[in-house]
Amino acid sequence: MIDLYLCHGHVYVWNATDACDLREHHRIVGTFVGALPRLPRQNVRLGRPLQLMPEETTVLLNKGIARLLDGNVPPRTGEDVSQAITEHRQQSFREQAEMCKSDRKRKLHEMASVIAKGRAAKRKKLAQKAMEESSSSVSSSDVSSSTWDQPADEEEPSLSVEEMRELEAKLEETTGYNEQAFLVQILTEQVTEETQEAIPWNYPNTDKEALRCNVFRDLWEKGYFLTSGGKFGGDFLVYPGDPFRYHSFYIAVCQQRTEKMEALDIVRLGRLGSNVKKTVLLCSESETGEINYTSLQWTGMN
Amino acid sequence: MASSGENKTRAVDLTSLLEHPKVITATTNKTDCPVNIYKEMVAYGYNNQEQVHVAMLVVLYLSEAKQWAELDLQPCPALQMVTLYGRPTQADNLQVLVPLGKQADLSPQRLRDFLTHVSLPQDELELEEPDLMTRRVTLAICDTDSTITFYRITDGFVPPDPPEVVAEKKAKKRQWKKRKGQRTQHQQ
Repeated sequence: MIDLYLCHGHVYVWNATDACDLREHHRIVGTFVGALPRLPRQNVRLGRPLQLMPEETTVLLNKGIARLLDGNVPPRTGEDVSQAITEHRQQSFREQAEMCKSDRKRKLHEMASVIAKGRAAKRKKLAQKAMEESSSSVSSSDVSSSTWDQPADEEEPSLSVEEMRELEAKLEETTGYNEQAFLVQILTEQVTEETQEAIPWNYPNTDKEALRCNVFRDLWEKGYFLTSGGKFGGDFLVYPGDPFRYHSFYIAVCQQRTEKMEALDIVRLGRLGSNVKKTVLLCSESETGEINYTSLQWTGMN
Repeated sequence: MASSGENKTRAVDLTSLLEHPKVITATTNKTDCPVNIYKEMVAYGYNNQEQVHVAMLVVLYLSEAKQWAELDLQPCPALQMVTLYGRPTQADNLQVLVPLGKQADLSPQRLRDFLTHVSLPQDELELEEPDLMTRRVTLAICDTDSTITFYRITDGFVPPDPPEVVAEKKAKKRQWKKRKGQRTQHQQ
């Protein structure tokens, strides 16, 4: 059951999985209206919450796919809540510290051959220097004696197991636990273990709203994707598939069956449709409650 | 605002125009005798002068200006209106047209009435399924200055042309314009 939250007259989806589910399995698109925390000063790409149209909400509630909850409930406060939050944050910091260490270890292993080469080159240099300074007395304290046994030029230098362990131990020591450097997660969705009661949905209220709901439901049941049609001067835009992949085919305009129209309205709607290469769909409800669709197209004669 | 007096004057002017010999011999599909189309429309007895007037303008436009291969009248008793049917060239399908004045009374219900009651002529119906009512109508909307705009209404969903067809049409149009331009150049 998908949770929808009614907040000051608007319906929002906060859960990320639910938002994906609505689109992929229920053909409900909605609109993202939230700022993305890491991309705040733009509105090309927005994030949660997903805002739903009243018609979308009506369909979801009537089909039992979702339930409506009160989004105005303020979060609980108190000592226990504050403690839970602190504990959650500490746990997050511990996990981040672990991740940081394992990340550095991984990098160390990746760089192993480079480190080994560097060390071999350094030893060679020091050895040469020592030889130049005095031929007889070799100060072995400066130079690691184990390397004398190694044939320097022939093999690919690599770190021995002891050397690796030594480096790893150093890493453990130096990787500190610095709370200032950790990320603090601010949850987009307010997670609560409390059960909330569903609240009533008071829509549609007028004939016009009812007509829009019925047209939306009918088109949705036919398998189309629908979004709001404001950009094109209609009630809905009707897509044959996901709006991400297709342009809309129809601009749905809902009209009462006996609503007075002018001939100029036909011309206006027809012009609009032909300019944007979409068919205008006049939707009205018949006496029997069935939705009738009339396609309006320019003929091309003139 | 047009008063009934003005309408009468206009009708009289139109009649005198229509007595012009060229108009009298405007094409009809059925007979070769010259027929006064205007008089025929009035004879339907629908008492709808505005609509008859508009229908006449559409007939003149399509037969003289657009040179349609076929154009005929068809009364529609259910709607008390004059309708037309015809085809631009012999190769095209038969179309049904409903002439409408700018002031015409319209509503979604009325549009559906057009679709259900405006029928194709009988002989055409025999070729298609007998119980298939007309589901596509062209509205010929006439403005006060006699410009006519044509829009088609169809029952159901008519998807727009896919991008390939749109590109094709655009290319054809460009070719036409080019040829037209060349032709006028030659004339000059």
